[in-house]
Amino acid sequence: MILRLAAQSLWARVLTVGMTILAIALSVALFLGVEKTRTGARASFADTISGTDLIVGARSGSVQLLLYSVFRIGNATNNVTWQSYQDIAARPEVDWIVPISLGDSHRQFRVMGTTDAFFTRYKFRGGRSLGFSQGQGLNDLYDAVIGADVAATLGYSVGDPIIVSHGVASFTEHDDQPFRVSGILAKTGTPVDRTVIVGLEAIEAIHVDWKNGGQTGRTTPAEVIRQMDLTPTAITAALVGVNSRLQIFKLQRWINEYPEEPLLALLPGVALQELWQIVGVAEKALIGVSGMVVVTALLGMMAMVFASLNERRREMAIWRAMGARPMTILGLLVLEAMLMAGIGAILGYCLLYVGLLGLRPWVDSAFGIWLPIEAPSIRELWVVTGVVGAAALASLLPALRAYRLSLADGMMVKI
Amino acid sequence: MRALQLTLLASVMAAPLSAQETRELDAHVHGVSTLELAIEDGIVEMSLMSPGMDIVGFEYSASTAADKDAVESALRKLTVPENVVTLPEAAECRLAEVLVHVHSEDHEGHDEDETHGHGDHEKEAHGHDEHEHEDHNDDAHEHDKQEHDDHDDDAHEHAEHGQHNEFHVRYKFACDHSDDLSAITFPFFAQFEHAQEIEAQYVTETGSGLAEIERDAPQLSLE
Repeated sequence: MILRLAAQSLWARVLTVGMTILAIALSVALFLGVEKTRTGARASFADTISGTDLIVGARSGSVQLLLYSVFRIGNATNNVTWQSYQDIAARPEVDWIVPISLGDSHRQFRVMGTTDAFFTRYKFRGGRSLGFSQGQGLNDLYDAVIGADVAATLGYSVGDPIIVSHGVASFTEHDDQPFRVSGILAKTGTPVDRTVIVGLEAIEAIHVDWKNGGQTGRTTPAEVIRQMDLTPTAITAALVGVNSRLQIFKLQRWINEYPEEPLLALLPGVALQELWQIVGVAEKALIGVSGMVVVTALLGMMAMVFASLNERRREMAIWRAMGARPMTILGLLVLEAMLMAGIGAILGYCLLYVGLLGLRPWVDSAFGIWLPIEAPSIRELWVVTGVVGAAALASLLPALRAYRLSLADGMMVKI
Repeated sequence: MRALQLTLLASVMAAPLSAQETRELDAHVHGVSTLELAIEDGIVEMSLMSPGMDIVGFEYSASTAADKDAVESALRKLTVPENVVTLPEAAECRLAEVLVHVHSEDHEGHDEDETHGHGDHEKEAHGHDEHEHEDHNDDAHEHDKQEHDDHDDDAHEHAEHGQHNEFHVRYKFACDHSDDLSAITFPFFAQFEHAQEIEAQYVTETGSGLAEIERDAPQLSLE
């Protein structure tokens, strides 16, 4: 009964109430969106690498090395000499090791040199392996395997030629040595989707005619290059798996104290945690700001209810005359506020999902963050409850005023 | 003879190499110990590195009798894992190995001594597998001796020299139900009042992770 009254009373003032609800909806959508992006980013990052025990690179920060070698974000780390790589590979603790060489690009996508072992050793999302949606791995020197996004964006299929550019975003092309797409990987939701994978030797091969960062002008024919020793002199990083987890720290210490070259071995999970510790401050700030937006919206609602009190004085008086107790009027106002907040929060949810649907592909391709669309989590339901509860609290102030007025005014309202 | 010449040649060649020393120091924060924890197939291995500051309240090599007593009693405490770490009872873990020693950073010869110490001790500890913990206390005494007295001169200048003593502890447990190792508590903080924080890196079935164990909440939870 009183709920219907409240709903109809809101309906009677649909414009102002609508604006208030919209403000609450937007603020809730913003708050939940921040939360969603935060958890989505964390999950995305954590899912990108699994099964790799150590990542080895030149000594830098562990976060920097992890971001560059796995996520291709941030500043490049120094290279590691092939000799050090082989020293590490020869350690008894090492079960497998996969080298990675970055530095060139194809259109907007990174080119990564590695070995065939990458396709079996690289694991993502709790141990899933890479799969081919078309074609197969690297069989020839000039074979390239492309990620799902590369294929989709550039419309490539198996057998198409690819020309690798020197460096990133440069206009110098390695057009004397074209590659051939030999396989397309199934979508993984990781940076691999946006990577062109070639053999480690191929990276050497396309740089045969390059000395000190410039083209020498000669063009060595592909047949000659195929005969050459294409053992790389340097790599960017290496993924390492150990025989036993109990040996990880020992191997890590050995690599970190390797006297011939300053190297860094990191545990992926630890480096990610370090990253979250850094990002955590910004996350808290974002949550704080979006939380304040919700508070502002609720304050706006409070102001609206206050303003409506005057125009509704006569209405209140009539209710009192019809037998409504002052307590009923207080309850009515609080209920109205909770209704507004509730509708606002639900609308905010809808806005969030619409926004997610619209922005998801862009966020995925621009930042590599896959935002899942799922049923609201317990935590998010608490947010809605919190907003409704806060609205009830915020409306208490004007409601108490109405309570007092309705006691004093009676029927004799002088406006 | 020829072999001797070769040896001579080798030593001459080696000399300039060793002269080109690398100078680097590890990070060292007072009040922060580091823990490395690995779990695989029911074996739990942990090594704890604590700055001397956290354990005994000073970082120079013990020179006075009181300092030496402090180091000795600290070592004795550390050889009893119950003083440092509590594994959940449900996991049913048995102690398999204990290794405790003091490590000082700036004497290369000293370091080598210690490496030998490691080996010997490990063998001993294996032999002692089923023994009571008291046995290990003897080992701790032995390790005390490794603290050479020649540090004494440096003792008062340790700040400038960056000399830092560290306590290294290694425990190995064999657990029947390692799945039940959900949380590990650290009585360590109650035992050593100067310790404030342990920075723990761990590797388990599900991957690696990093956690800060604080004095206020001395627990490491492993998902």
